[in-house]
Amino acid sequence: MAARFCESTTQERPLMNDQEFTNVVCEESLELLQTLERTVLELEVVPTDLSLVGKIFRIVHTIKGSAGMVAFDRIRDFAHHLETALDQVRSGLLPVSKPLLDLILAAGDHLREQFIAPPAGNSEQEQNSAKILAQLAALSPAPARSTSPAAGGARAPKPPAAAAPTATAAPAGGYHIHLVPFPSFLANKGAIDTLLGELATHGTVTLLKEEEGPEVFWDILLTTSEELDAIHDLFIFVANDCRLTITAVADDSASSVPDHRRLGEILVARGDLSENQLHRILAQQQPLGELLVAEGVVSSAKVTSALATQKLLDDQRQQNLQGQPQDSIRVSSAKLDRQVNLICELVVVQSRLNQLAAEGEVAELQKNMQILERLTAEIRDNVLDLRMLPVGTLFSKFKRLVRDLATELGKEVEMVTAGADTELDKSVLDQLGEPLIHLIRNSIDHGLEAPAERSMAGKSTPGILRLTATHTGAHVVIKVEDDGRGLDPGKIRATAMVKGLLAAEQTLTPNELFQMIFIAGVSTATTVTNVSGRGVGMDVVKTTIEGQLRGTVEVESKHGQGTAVTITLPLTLAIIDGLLVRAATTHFVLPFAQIEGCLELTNQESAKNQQRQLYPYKNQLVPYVRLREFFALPGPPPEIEHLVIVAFGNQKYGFILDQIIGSHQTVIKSLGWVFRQAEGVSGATILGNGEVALIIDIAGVVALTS
Amino acid sequence: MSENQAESLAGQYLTFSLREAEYALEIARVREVLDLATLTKIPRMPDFLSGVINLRGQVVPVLDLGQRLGLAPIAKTINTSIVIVEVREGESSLVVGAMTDAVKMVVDLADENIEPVPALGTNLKTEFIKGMGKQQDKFMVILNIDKVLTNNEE
Repeated sequence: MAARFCESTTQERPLMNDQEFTNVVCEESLELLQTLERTVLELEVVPTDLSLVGKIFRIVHTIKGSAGMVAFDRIRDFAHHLETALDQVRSGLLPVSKPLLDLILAAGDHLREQFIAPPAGNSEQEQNSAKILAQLAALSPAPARSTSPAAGGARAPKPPAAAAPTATAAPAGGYHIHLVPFPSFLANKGAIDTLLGELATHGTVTLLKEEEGPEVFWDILLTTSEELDAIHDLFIFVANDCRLTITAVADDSASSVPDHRRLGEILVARGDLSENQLHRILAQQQPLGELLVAEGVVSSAKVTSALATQKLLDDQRQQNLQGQPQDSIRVSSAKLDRQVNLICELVVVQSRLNQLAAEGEVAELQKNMQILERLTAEIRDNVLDLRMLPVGTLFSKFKRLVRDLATELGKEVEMVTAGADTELDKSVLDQLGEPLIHLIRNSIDHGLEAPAERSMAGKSTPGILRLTATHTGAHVVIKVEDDGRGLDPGKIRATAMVKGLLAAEQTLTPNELFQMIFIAGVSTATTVTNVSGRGVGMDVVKTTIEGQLRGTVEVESKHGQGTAVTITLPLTLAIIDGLLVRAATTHFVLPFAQIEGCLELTNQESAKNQQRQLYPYKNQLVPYVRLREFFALPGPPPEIEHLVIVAFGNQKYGFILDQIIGSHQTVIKSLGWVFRQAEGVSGATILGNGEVALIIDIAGVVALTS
Repeated sequence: MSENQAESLAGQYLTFSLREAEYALEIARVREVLDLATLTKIPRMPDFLSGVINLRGQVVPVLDLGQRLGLAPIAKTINTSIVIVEVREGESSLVVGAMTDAVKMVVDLADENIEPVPALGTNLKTEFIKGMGKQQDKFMVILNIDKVLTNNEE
């Protein structure tokens, strides 16, 4: 990928016409903006953690630089102003407040829009940009500082502003120069100026002067690639007028994360502690520096100086981290899709060869075919695994949504997540976002009550919104729960009857009633907000989950206590382990993971239960369907048939068929839109003998026969 | 009324027979021609959707083209062939097989050999037809394959 760099001039630079490079810049910037959003939300919980501010600053700085490289000048300039404001926050001049964080989030959104839209921009975007910058300026207490590498000093006790880390070339070392001036030193202003000037030319300087109190000293932190001796030389002229100690500052600690934070993270990962709880407790801790000064153990000046060194080390580590080789790479989804397709074809061919080998009875061949089968299965699993991403990526996107919704609707919401590293196929994850957003909106809008109502009901504020993800066998279960009002069966009945969906005499179980909320237009919301209430969102949830993702949705609710929506999804859309069966001359496949048991039936036995279409199985009466009947297959059934029991949600269901053939690696082939309305069949697969077998859509069959 | 009167329909066509009459499809849309293969019927779908076949690992739907056009259902013989065509709907395209009684040949039709759709005389829906082709003494119905398959009657 060639990148051409233009020399900067004062006029508008010529546009890069290397589209690939620009695309990479956009992609990376969008990722950075996601990190920025996450970090801002973290900062909201712990507003005193300035390292987070630093992180945000660096992100904006990087974005500014990248934008400049591809001549996105409007973005670059906007980022520059944002960076200036952030610099003020870093140096303590601009306090962290909710309006400020809201503005930073808005600025992030604005930048995101600009990276997605062509850089030409339009007047609406310009107005937006000007508005955000004006509001930022309104918050700042002092005129914005220029962002040249700071050579100036700050006075104790405020933490000094660290100079922007130099981004390139030789790894810079850090030096801590402790200088105790004699009166002769302080008298010689000229020498002091010259000294500081000299230092600035050798690297970046942070100067901390302690001029009050019993101890007078200067602490200089110098980041430079010069050697120690060269540094000593700089002080030759003032050597007699002060006491000088120069020490190299090196980062020899393994990690920049303090121990107590690491302990906290382990507990959070285990689910013993929620992230919010962790942050809250940590915020209660008094910083070590404050404690030391309060005890009189160390002077506040020395603490401030040490803090400056700590900052320098952090910056160095940050630089080092960025220089480290990546241990992961970005791969385009298209490439992964091609890989999956190739694997699917490989499985088909291998299955055919297997069959030929079995018929041929050549022992060597059969042995090698077994090895090939094992290898193919392993490659298959590996490739499918490449497309798996953790659900956590969705969960963290929702944090922002929840925050904004809660603010907009006047609710207090605490979002709790568990199982964030449960993995799902990328395509499933992409389609899952919208339904989950609908469910979250509903929870916050209609489920969770306003704080006043909650305290009256004896519930804690804030309301809890819980998102969990777990694996069970071949499925992933995702749950959206809230401890809000819950569903009112009475109201749902009433609404359904008004809409003509339910007759007065019909009685439904609570679960069946709850399923009605998925019908378009059914909503018991008394007010329609612009967020929800029309009864359309749940309809989308059901069709996406059951139609496109071949999963199930179930609702549980206790009026007054809360609601839980459970989504069950198959792990992969491409290949499943199936049970191959036959009815008449057609072959079918049932998903292996849902199979509970198989029985043999003679004709008399099946005739016995013909009336009710219910079969007794393990103390339950299981409804069943005859494949021959359901699919209108010709010919009489054989003497002995088989009943296969499957699990479907919380219930069991049975299929009567002619013969069970065995397990089969089922590469799922879509039937295409020609057969999009096919009932009871969700796809097809190719058997070893070249025949096409149909994959049974259990949910569809159940829906059609109940 | 054929909406394609403004466009020239001249070009190469594959001709085939459906229940005694001759039809034509533009050769650019024809991928290949197969002998009749094992069809797996998809249950509970309209009759003209005969089922699916395995085409080198791809599951391809096959329809009884004659039945779709309103003719009697196909009687399979040794000459029955499946013409694999590319159908377009909007921006997407789909590979579909059309069962024909027999495939004939590729012909070149010039503008003067093509006449617009007759108002009377055919029992086919006129949106399925692009025009009538004439070769020597024979007439053939030039089909609009996209419309035949995307007409939403299912």
